[in-house]
Amino acid sequence: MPNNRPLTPDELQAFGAELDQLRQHTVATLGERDARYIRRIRSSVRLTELAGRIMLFAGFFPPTFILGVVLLGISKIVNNMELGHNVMHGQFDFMHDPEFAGNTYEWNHACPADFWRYTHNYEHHTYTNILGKDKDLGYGLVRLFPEQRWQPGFLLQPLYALLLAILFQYGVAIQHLKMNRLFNGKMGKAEFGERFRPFLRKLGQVSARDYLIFPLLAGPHCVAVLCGNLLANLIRNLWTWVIIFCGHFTKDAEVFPQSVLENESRAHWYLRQLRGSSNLKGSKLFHILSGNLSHQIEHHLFPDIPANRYAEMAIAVRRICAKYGQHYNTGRFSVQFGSVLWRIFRYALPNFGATQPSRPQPA
Amino acid sequence: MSAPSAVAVPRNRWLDALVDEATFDFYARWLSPQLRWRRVICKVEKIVPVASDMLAFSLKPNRNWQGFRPGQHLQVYAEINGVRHSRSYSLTNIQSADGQIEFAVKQVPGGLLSNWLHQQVRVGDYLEVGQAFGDASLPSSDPLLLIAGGSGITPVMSWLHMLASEQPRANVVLLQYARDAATLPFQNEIRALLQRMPNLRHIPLLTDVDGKAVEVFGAAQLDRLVPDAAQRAGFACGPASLTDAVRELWQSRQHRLALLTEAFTPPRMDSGTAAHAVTLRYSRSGQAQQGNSGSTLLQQAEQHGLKPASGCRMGICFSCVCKKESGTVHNLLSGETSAEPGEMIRLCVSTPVSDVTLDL
Repeated sequence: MPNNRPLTPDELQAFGAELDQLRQHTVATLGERDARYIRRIRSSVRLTELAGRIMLFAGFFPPTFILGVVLLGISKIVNNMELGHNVMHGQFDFMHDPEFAGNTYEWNHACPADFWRYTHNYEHHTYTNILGKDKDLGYGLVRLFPEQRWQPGFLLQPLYALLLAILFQYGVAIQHLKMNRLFNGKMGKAEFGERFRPFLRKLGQVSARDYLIFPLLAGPHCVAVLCGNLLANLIRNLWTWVIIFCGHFTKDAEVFPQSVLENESRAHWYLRQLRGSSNLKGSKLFHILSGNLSHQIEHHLFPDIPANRYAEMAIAVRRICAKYGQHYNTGRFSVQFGSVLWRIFRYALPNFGATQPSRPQPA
Repeated sequence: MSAPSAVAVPRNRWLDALVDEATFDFYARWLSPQLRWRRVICKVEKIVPVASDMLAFSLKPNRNWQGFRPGQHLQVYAEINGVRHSRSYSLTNIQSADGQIEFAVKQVPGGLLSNWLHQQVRVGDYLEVGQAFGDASLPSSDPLLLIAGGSGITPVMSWLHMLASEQPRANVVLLQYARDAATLPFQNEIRALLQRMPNLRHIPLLTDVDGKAVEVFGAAQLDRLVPDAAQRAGFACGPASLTDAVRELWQSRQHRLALLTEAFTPPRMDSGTAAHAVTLRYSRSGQAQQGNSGSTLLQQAEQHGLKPASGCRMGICFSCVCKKESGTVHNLLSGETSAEPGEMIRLCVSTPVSDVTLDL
């Protein structure tokens, strides 16, 4: 259990005020540097995609095929995480450039951007780690915390987790379809149809691109291009799954009952975001490849501030956490991901009558 | 007045699956600096001073430019410290075979874009502009009285060029106001037009001589200079103080003929009624703030720390159009009050009458 000092109401307010101040200070200095950053990311996404696709057009010749798969995979990863995810949060809306407008941006992913803006920007970021509210908590397939009710179906969850990882982009896309509500009769067929059509359109678009148009363009090397695209998508799916699971399901991450939402102040909200998120240590390249979700804590405190600022904000956030005796959940990738895997295997099983760890609610 | 509209590009599902506008533009700019899917990128061909504080820019647009009519404006875009800004300027020439477009920019003290255009832009640079918009057309009847103050001369120049090429014998009086001789724009161009238009009378008027207000627009001055003003179709363009004065005089005299006025400064607040407090809610950023009915939603949103997109700040360019989710607002330009939920409003010319919720 992380060691968090309980805060008095005054301390909690001061804690929130310091984070607000950090936010204002950063927002006031947004400009040229951040615009240049996101354009460089955009350019690297496009150029790695172009290079990857050209390599794959050379067929199964191993050096070019492997390099092509890796480049295309990296392009998709950065497209989804550092470019698409961050732009859709409105982080670069301050530029007023239509190319980086958060509410119209569309990404290279099976999930329609409008779905994502709802399930991720609204549901996940508002109700982070709240049981029954945050659908990202195991995506309805995996039990990760003892507070979640055990059912026999969870015994096979290591297998479900693997399948979710392999098919992650589709898993994310169908989240907004809310199929459980269709099955239990809470959603009519008409409403489901309205959700299903844009999903099908987007799925058709990204699939046609990777599995039809580019293979056909490659002529004699169509099988190589098809396999290469399949592998690049697989790399992207596995990597994004790993990073996202490391963001909220590590050993020291906490979940909360819905009751915390009653009269939750902004300072409370900050505290919940802090306790529900976890960071990963790594190099600058690692941070970019993780879409700066390696700074998950800073991202959840300030989801609409450009991600390239999180590294410098993290220094101040750590200082504030230390000052108020709050645990700052960070660690090496191997340690954090190891603890996620442990949770997947451990909570496949029931709690065995062990007393549930009592989790103090924020403040 | 219509908003600057996006061009409808024929869309093809297969092409869309392969490439979108942003991708196309990314690669196109390597092929040619002006090649774009839809955006209008211009090359700056000429920059000429037309007054001590005014520069005229001649641009060569790319093929996406759809042309313009005299009296229309265009948005000029510039990225300054990572933030894209825009202002609208009147086109000053007419369509010609070489395809050049011209606009003039008065340097405004503290003006972000006008100073950037004056100080940073060089011949050979590339500028992005929007399609021409606005529908202020010249009263077609002859004779004419054109009244221009300061940079209000810019759309008038476009009309004079049109008249010189289409009806060079048109009977036109041009009253041109400026602070002093140095800031009287386009004198060389007007001299050239006088050569081509025998019935054009140009009356330059300086409003500030040695710090004293002289030659300010008024009834006596108009009667002395243009005794037949009542028989002319009038058009006034310039600062609100000038266009308001012209409009009042026309109304008091009940002149039959049409008068068009166009202000180049923001509309003035109606100071007749006292401002009252309202609550402004910004749904996207989840804020509720104390506001008042006495200033525009754009000003207040900015005071509340939001950064909505904006351009001309006087209701011309539609850059600040935003969805009003609920509440009643007053439109300073039209004088209308509307309470319709979900309508799109221009923040820069809208003041709140009741509590208002905006999609910001």
